[in-house]
Amino acid sequence: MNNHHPIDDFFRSKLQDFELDPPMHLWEGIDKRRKPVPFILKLLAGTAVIAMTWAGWYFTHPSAELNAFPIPLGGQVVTQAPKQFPLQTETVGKATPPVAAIVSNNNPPVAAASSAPTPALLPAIAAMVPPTAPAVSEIATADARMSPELFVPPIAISYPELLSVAPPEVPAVVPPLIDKAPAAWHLHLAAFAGPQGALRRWTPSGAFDEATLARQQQAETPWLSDFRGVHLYAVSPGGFALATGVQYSSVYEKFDYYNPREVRLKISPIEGPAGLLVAQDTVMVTGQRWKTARNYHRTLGIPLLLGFERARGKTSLGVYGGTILHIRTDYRRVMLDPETGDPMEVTATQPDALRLSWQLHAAWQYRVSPALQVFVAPQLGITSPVSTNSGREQFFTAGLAAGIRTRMY
Amino acid sequence: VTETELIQGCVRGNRDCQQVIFRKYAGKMLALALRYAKHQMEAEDIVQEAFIRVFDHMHTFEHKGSFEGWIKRIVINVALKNFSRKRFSQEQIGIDQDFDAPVEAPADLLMGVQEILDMVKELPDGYRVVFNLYAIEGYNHKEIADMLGIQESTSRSQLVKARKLLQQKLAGLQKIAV
Repeated sequence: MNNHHPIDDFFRSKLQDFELDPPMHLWEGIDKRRKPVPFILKLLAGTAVIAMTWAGWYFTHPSAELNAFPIPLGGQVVTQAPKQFPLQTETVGKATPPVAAIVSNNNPPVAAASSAPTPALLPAIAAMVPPTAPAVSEIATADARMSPELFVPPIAISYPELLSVAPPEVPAVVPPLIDKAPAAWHLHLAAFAGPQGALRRWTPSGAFDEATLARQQQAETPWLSDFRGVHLYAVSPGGFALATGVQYSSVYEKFDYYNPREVRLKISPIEGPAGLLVAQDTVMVTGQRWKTARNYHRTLGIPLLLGFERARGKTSLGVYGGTILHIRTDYRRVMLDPETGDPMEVTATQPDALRLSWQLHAAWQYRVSPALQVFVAPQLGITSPVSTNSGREQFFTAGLAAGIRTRMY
Repeated sequence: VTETELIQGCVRGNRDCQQVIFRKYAGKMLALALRYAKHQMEAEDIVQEAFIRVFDHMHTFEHKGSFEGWIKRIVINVALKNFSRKRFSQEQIGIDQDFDAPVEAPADLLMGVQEILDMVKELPDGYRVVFNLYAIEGYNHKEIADMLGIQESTSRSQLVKARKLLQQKLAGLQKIAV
């Protein structure tokens, strides 16, 4: 206690317990500023969040066209200018024009309809084309006048077993820590989105030999992804918090590989005197070059996070850590066949693999109104290593999420 | 309804509990704010902002000390924040810095609390805040220096000047009374 001083004592005795009648407009002002968000607005906000999440899912989900194989030029597979392996072509075969076309070469033009290839020729062409020729369709789409029946139909290759990942043992559902949330806890609903970088560490094994490895540029490839989701937070009066929800991420990889047997079909139309198409020459060429593929996979994540939040004024800081169960919903990959070394594409459109990751993130929140916060959250993550037929792979991630959080209760 | 139940009700966002708490403490807090503010409207703004903080952070109250003291600290913090927006300047008003001069106790004047409050409010900003924190609230100079971001010596000199000014005012009133 401070030293007594007569002036201090006099004023303290007079003023310490002094009280005034507060004007009622004071309470009205407080009440107005603290007016809770109407239920209908909360409902609309929740609906909007769900709708946006669904829209994000829907518009990023692969369409049937994207899953088509071979991939159209300008689509997901992008050819690259030759580097140390310039394109070398050689004619390995020349298809004889169809009988009808030969006849028409020596005679007056006939109707274009008669230039359709002889059906017997198609199996021969098909036999000349190896099943690993992603660039076949590049020529196929080059000339609109070409008859579609002339081309080898896409050869569906499916190696689901190569990437089928044995689901790791999923721990039993975590028993609820608290049967019933105490009434004093607050519930918050948060929606967020953001970019994420990832590094895939791949340790080859099994059928992959040195020669195969030499044909892809690196074992550790950078990935780029984006993620978004909705989390539900329960925050205790002391700042202890639990969070769960759903989140969805799309991961893209640039995969460089060397294709030693690029096959192309060159088709030259033969026109009659009147400019009518009377026949077509089909030439198959082979070459070699580096190629780049855009691989992707998409996952649905279910987090279970524990954290602690501390508020100071309008800002608060939270630190969260926990695990996320990832369900891979679909993917497409161009990879090298572990047996032959040839590029192949594998796709899946159904959930087929589970993996766990551990995540740590900090969230800086700013309250813009009593029931609404905006936040940014840097985060780090690491996935459990998963074994595949080609080796073991593991991801390290770093991202930055931004979003809004609304207090529901 | 006990105070603890009222506090729990406030944490749950119960508007009635909040209003009861407001009615119970708003009068004291308004009087407290008036000692830091220059006028009534400024004091009301302080109280309003402080009670919004009280209701927003009610869940952080740990029931260790008195609830009234907790609210009082929030009101003082808001008042100081409000005060720091203005520039804290050592106002020179021409008083001799005779720190050791004896200060007489004021006679027991028949003065109303409002008049006494007005005397405090008429002090220059820096003097008023330091005098309130030291003499009425009971903070020491180190705490005041930390709260206001000033030197301890500044706090001491502001207090002495405030006492001098108040004593002059009281002396003036005594002469009038005689």
